[in-house]
Amino acid sequence: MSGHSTYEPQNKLLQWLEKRLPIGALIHSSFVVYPVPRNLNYLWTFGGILAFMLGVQIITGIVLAMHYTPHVDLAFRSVESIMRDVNYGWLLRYLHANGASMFFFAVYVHMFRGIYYGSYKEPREVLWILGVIIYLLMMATGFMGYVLVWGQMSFWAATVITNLFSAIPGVGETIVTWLWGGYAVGNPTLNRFYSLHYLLPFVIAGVVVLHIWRCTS
Amino acid sequence: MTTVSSAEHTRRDFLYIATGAVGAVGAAAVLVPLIAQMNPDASTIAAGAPIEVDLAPIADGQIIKVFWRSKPIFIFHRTKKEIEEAQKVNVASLPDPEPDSARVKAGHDQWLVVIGICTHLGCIPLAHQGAYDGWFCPCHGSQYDTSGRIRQGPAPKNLALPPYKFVSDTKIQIG
Repeated sequence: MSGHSTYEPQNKLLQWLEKRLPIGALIHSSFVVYPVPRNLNYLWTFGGILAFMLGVQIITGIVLAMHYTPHVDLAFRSVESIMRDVNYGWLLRYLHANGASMFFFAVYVHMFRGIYYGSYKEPREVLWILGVIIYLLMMATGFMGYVLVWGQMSFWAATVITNLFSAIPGVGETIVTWLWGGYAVGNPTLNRFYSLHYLLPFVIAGVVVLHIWRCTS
Repeated sequence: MTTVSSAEHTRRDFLYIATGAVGAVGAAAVLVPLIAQMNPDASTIAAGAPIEVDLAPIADGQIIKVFWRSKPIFIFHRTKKEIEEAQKVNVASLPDPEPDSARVKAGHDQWLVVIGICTHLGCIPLAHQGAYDGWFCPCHGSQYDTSGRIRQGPAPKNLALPPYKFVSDTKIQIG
């Protein structure tokens, strides 16, 4: 697994950069010279598909954030405004909301490949664990995104899921109140979900870098 | 990937170029909605629709302020003296030369309609102040005359004119 990279950039600028920050070797060893099995099939494309989907979600999300208002009185209206008034707003909203579903579909296919082919076995245990972490972060992000619309489904989903934590003995209720920022799901909850929904995709991106980082040459 | 050094273009070259071209079109198509969404949306455009202003209640010598597209618009009902002052100025001596006739509508020279934003750095000038009977900008001291033209101070241009027209003798439509 360890070993010197065979990456030799021709371009002078890239050589300069490579000496100071070996990002070229990282990309080269993870994507260019990484050996693939003889039984390679299209299931192996889903990792790349997931990376693309993460990019799509981040870009459409940032663009939607330019028009969304995270306040209980204005959130739903701002989503309607995106759908009706913002140029191509309907397209961006549907890409983002359905993109999330596509993201999950791709993640399940990707997990299937891992389970069927034993991709979690030694030496890939940490790889698999990182994948589990990414999956949990995706679920949290998707859940919070669903709440942001602030429709009936959003509100009650938020109430049900946050209430699950009350099952923890002793501290459960305290944790739930802490999550809500109040005595029920309300404006503080919406605001913090918006902040975290913007944050977690970048945390996912960071864990993804760890997930695909290879040291072999 | 072996390099083929042949003078002829191969099918592979064609496929690469064709794919690249379709990819470029695809990339451009993706950029269109991402960039277009930042342009004013339908509700902003609707809020910026033309407005009608009734001039009848504006007294001689009075300046009122209305808002159009979130910008302050000064409507000045000029007295005879103020019109004369504006017309007799030597246009060539002005920092931004423009005759008064170019700043009012024909037959309606008692009405001056200008955007009330100082052309220096964007403050709103104060009416009926300054040495030229027009406006004085308190931020950096620009002074405008009765035709809204810059006379003194750091502002480079005269007060801008919004698009407007007279729908009747006592009513204008701005925008």
